Amino acid sequence: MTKPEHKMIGAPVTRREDPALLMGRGRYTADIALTDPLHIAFLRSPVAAGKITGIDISEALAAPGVVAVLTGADLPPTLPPDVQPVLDIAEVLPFPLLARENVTAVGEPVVAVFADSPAHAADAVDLIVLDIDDSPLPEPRRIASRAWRTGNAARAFAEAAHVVEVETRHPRVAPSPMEPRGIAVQYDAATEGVTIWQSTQTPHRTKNDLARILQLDPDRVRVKAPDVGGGFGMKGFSYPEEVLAVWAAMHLKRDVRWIATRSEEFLSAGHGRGLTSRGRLALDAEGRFLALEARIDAPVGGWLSGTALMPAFNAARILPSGYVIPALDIETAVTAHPTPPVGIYRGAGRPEANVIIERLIDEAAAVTGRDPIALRRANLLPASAMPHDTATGNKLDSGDYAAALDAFEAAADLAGLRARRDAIRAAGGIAGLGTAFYVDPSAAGFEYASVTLNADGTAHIVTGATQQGHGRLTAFSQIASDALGIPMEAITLDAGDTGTAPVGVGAVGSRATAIGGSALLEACEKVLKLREAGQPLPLTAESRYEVAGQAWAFGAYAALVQIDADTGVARLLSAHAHDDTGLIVNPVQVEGQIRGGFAQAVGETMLEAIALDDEGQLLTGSFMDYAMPRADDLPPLGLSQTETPSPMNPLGAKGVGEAATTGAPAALINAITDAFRPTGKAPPQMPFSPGRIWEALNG
Amino acid sequence: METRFLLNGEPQVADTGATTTLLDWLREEKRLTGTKEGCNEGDCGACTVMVTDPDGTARALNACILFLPQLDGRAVRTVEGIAGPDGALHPVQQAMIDHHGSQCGFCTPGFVVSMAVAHLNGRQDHDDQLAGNLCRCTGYAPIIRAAEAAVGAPVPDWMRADAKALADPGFIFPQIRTSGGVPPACPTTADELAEWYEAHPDATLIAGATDVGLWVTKGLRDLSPVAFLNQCADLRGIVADDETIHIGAMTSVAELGAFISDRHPSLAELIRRYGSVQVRNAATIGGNIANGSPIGDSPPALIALGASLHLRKGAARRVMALEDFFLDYGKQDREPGEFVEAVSIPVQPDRLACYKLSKRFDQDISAVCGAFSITVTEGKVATARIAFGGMAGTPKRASHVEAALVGQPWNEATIRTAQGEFERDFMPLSDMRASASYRLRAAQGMLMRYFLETQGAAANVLEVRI
Repeated sequence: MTKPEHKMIGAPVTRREDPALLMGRGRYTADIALTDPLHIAFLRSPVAAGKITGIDISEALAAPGVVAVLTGADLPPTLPPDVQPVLDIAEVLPFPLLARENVTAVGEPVVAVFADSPAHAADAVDLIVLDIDDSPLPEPRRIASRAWRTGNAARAFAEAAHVVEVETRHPRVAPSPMEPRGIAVQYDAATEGVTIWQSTQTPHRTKNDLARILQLDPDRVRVKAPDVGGGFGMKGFSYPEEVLAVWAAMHLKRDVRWIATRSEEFLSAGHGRGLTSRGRLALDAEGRFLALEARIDAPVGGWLSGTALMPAFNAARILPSGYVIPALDIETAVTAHPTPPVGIYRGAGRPEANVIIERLIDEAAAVTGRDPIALRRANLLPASAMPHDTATGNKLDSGDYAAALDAFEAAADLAGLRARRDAIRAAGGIAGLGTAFYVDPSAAGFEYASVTLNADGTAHIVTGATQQGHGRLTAFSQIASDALGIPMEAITLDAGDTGTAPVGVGAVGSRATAIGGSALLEACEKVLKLREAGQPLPLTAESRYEVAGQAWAFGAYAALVQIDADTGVARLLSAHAHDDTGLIVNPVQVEGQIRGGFAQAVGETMLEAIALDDEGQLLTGSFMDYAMPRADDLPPLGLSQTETPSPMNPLGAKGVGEAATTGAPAALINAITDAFRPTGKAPPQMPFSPGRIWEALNG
Repeated sequence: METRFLLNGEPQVADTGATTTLLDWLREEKRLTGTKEGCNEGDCGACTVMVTDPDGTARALNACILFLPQLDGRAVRTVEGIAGPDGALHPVQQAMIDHHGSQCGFCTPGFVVSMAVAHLNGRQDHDDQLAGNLCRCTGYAPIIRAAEAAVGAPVPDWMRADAKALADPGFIFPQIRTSGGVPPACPTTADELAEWYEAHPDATLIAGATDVGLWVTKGLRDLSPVAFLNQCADLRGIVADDETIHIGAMTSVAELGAFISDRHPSLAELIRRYGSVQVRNAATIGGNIANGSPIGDSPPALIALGASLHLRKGAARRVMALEDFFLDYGKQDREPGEFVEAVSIPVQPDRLACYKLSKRFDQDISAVCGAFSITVTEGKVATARIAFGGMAGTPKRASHVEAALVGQPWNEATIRTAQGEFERDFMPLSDMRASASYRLRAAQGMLMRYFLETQGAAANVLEVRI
């Protein structure tokens, strides 16, 4: 076999996925044909806390098309999902599929109606009489925590020439993939097993969760991820509604489908962010960082997903980022609130960690009269220190951080942006320029791949790495094309099916290219070795590849903002993203991830916030009240890139999916803070809506 | 009931309930699953379809809040019908591939249809044409680039086929006997509507369904009896003479925007931010007024222009100042069986300025929406009409502010004095959109902005965003 002359890796090829998606031929969970399925509608708790005193389902049971009405009392005992023990856990929250005695959040499922159409199910929900004795909202309580300490931070703060402090409250946000959650369950009477199509990032995790929560033989469950309309972490764990749908299919011996409405997404899908952080940084007279103190409080809702502690963990352990800081005093805690669930969302604590350190540095630069970029450069780890182990357990694998800042300063034209800011100020306006450095890890762990070489010159890939818009087929075809020496078009991909990939993880934590791509590369090499050894086609080789360690992307972001003093409207004028995300498989898709991530960063910083009132009622229940960015909200975004291959995996790739959501928020907040500095007023907390800015300017 | 229309070029007779949405019918009955449900309330555009009227006008509409009877005699084209019959991609589809405009693909069909309609209509204001389509993956820039790239490509033949078919005098929808239940009223004239509604005063009138649609998809309400007004041709359209602009109640907000842009550009700009293209194409001016929302954006501007409302019940008609229609929150001066026939505004020199504050520029509910029309003669304020949305339980005039202006010299001192009167006119609420004090100060700021504009300072709703 001769390899094509042009390497496909690194080529800006268009996506093989696109023609079908552009013609409306995508096949999402709601589009999967089932046999005479039952549709579920939920009666959800109207209050945040209370005791259920009565449920009358008789009228609903008699309603047209209704086949079954289930309450918590109808269900077998279930277990909560395994929660990743990244913190010290004091209390595991219950995980009822339907509320039993008490309700713990507005929107918690209480009764499930199964009917022959979504409309019949929804109509019957209206006929249920639910009595709840409201109770006062419970006080939030700490359920997990962890601390990292090194050096003598107390002494450093006491003896420091300068100490700066910032507090940041991140609004709760709704991840809002355009496709709501959904699950289609096909029941097979012969095996008493189910085949599940789920809008998920992690089908293997779903299978494991189902086996544990329902105490099932995992062999009865096959989970497939069909086309998935976005995930962003929110579809990286199992929901009570989904587990219930699977149990009901087995119990009722029928196909079952549940597709969440948008209203249910705001009310019961995992929210993101919501953390409050406080940080202090000590510097000596020369501007060297001496000590960092951080206190993080991360909310969770009425129940815990397996990944629920990750935001609190990441918000702490990503510190001290890429800087040299001898003394650390970092504590993080998770607090349970009577609210809808909170979970991982694109970045999952990394943006919050980055905001702590980068806001502190800007504050220090302002207090000491130093250039913010120069202050960063002077305190970043030198390239010679790589790889570097942090006291918080990170192995920063590669990169010349100071050189990245140099490249960023030139590519973003920081001098030009500063001149624009100063011109607006000179004309009496309010403007700010914010910058921020970041590091962002691709997850550790394993992924599965197999490659089959066929006699007709084609190859078939099976991978555990899923796709929710990542263009996996295209990127993995590029990798396999180079490795096997066959055209991309000769390659087929089967991603995210527990029936074909015996093990796997999926697409979370910016892992799929670095780990899944490396697994694929390894499988390709194995299959070629078999071929070279003279074995006949077709030939299959498998890989369960585990990375040596996390691959750390890095870079810097800039944003220029102008504020209208009379109305408080903040307008982003310009922004720049400089990223080093390791080896780039497809530059077009990398740009897509950066632009999309940046838009979400603008959303969470400037526009989006889940609002709950004092009684735990959701006030932002639709896209009319919840401000997702539209095209007009986004500034021109300049891009520049370098490629430092990671030594942690054979592909040399790092994660890119969360780079912009991690890097950009700190730059955006720093821009608003910089705009406020000449006014002498304190900037508001996010989101930077006109009302909040105006109140801060006039308060 | 039966609805006859073209679907991707094929004649259809749909036999459904009156409030079956096009989206449900496409997905559940026809198994055409390319059209997506992203929100089911007209906010996200994932269900966008192209609808062609008998006069050949092609519009993008949200299928999720479009009831089938609204389509009778029209043509629908879904994403499955945007590529050619031979499978050839539409230029906007090819451009979306070339510019990496699709990631997860779920919003993509809606974007493709919006882009194809804009392309057909020769529109190049891409931000505005696509403001009704939400995307969470791409950051929009690649989609806008794709729309720009497709501008020069010729319109494919099949995109004009619907208009041609409907215009063909020999074209007749096939007649098929169906077994529908009690059919809704589909009056074809205002007289028929008046007679029917007087006999059925509890009925729900459905105009553009951009709000009533949600009563069904979100409120799960049974609306019967209902009447669909879309065939009342004499309720639709704008007629102007030297003195009056007469706007039929069924005139769409988009049509009003297009008509008014020369006479009152600030109202046209306000309309541009008022719902998405899909919503403006469906929403009617009569529906927007009759609905009585305290935060509807058209009443303040129309009140500032001195609009009159024309109501009709049976044969009886009455005319009132628009501001008098809004009695209290959720309460209008409309009798059972009475409907909005038209709104009229006097022809006048343009002095109107509208300002809308919301947390997002496009398609958002106003925190404060103010409209000003002030005449200055020989340095003194001759007349002043000022109205606000979002400041009270109804759209409301700022009578005390107006009184403080009229007869006074048009200068900053007068403005400062008048700003103090806002507190007598309004006691706004604090809610998640804005605090009471913000609303009050913003309203005062809008008056100052209006004054400064008349002094030559550039400060309209768009320019403040640079």
